[in-house]
Amino acid sequence: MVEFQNVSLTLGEKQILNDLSFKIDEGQIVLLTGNSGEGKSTILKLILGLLRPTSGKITVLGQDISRLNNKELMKIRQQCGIVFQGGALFDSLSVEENVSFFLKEALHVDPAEARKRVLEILEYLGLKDYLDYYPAQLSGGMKKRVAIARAIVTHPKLLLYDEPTAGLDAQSATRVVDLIKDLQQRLNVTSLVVSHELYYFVRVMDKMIHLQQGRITSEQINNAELMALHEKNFLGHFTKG
Amino acid sequence: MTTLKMYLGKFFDDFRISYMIRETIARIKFAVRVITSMNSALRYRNETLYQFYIMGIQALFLVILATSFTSMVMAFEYGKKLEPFGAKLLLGRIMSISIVREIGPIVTGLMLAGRTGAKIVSEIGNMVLSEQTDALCAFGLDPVKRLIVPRVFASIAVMLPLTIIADAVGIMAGWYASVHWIGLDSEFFWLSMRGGLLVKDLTIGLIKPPFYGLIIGLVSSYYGYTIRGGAEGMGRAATQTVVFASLGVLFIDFLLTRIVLSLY
Repeated sequence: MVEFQNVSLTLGEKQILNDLSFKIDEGQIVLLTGNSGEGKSTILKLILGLLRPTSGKITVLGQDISRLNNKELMKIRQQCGIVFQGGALFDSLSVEENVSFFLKEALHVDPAEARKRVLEILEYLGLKDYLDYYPAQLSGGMKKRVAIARAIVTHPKLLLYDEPTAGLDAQSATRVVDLIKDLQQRLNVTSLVVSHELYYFVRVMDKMIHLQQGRITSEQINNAELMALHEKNFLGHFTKG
Repeated sequence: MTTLKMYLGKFFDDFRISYMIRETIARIKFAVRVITSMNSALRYRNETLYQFYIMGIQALFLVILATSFTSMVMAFEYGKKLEPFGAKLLLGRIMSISIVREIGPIVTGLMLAGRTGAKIVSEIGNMVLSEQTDALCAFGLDPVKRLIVPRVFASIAVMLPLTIIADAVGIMAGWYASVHWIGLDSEFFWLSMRGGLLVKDLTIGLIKPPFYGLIIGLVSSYYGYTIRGGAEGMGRAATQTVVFASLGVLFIDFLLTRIVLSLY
């Protein structure tokens, strides 16, 4: 589904990623962790072709995106969905307009069909009563769910999440994590989650990639290790709290 | 001492020739990209019309007030200076020519540089900072075409009607001041104006506003689109927009006046 082969990225004089290689298989939930400024969100931008690697090869949905032109990249992007850290909802549009925005603007779906799809998704996410609300009227957790609705309404094959639990209380964060798992099971969507809040994701992820100074320091954890990590982080989370 | 060194270093960095060349090239590239994408204004016509309406409505009252006051002050000053020479009958002619050729367009341009410039930079800047522009890119839409072109096009289109309104209001305000404060006969004012105002004056006065609109739209959207650094960056971008858009309007005014006068 996604493969990085010896990818390096230098922006200005700063080396962000250094000879990075990893692979995400179809239907997996992969967690990308690391400290702030390690280039986690940059990886999402590279996958979408918003940034070009300095060297190396990036394959997304079977295509080497480092060689694609803008028009071809658009086709790849339309098969991907992304949930930004702050939601990135359009302030001047209502929940319904936000969710249907890309259906109408990018995919030119018929308005009646778009509305049907939006209503279905908002009902599934428990947001049907908030159709006419504006982003400023929603809580942090609701904004994240609207952002997820906007990302999945186009029926993407690959979903990218940038810090989906950041700034949320434990209950809302758990709801978002459950939703990510549910989407994987229902739609077989491949998910790449960028987060440093390991304790929320350890029970749902299939694989974890840890990034440090632009390099992968650990990858692929087996079940026993995952569970040990889960317990350690679960307890750590509460003792910290 | 360290802070002083840091600011001095930044000051010299900002005035480095290589930095200035790089920045100028970036601005030119951005302007070319916007201008060559101008047909998107038609594709996103609803957004363009909405921006045109908002910019026009928001700036209308400001433009009316600014031109009224400027024209009344002008009538008062010209009237007082012309009175000792018995030339106050020329007030209608002088006022109308000054307003139509210069005061109407330039006051409208400067008001829009502040009002519309600040609006565009804060809207685009906020969208960049909250990743809304990244979201557009991620879903296969070009933010320049979707957000910037409609605003720049509206900024160009709104200038002409606003300038015509400013001219009309300015002449009316000048007439009011001339008649009520200078004691000029109303009939003389209109006669003098009709005798002095030529099509050439109207052409010169109405050829400039769309260029003011273009420079205001380009400057403000550039600073909004390249914003960095949160709230502090927003403040810096807004200040730069108002300063450079106003200077741009004055420079375009000078340039076009020179060109048009050398042609006529």
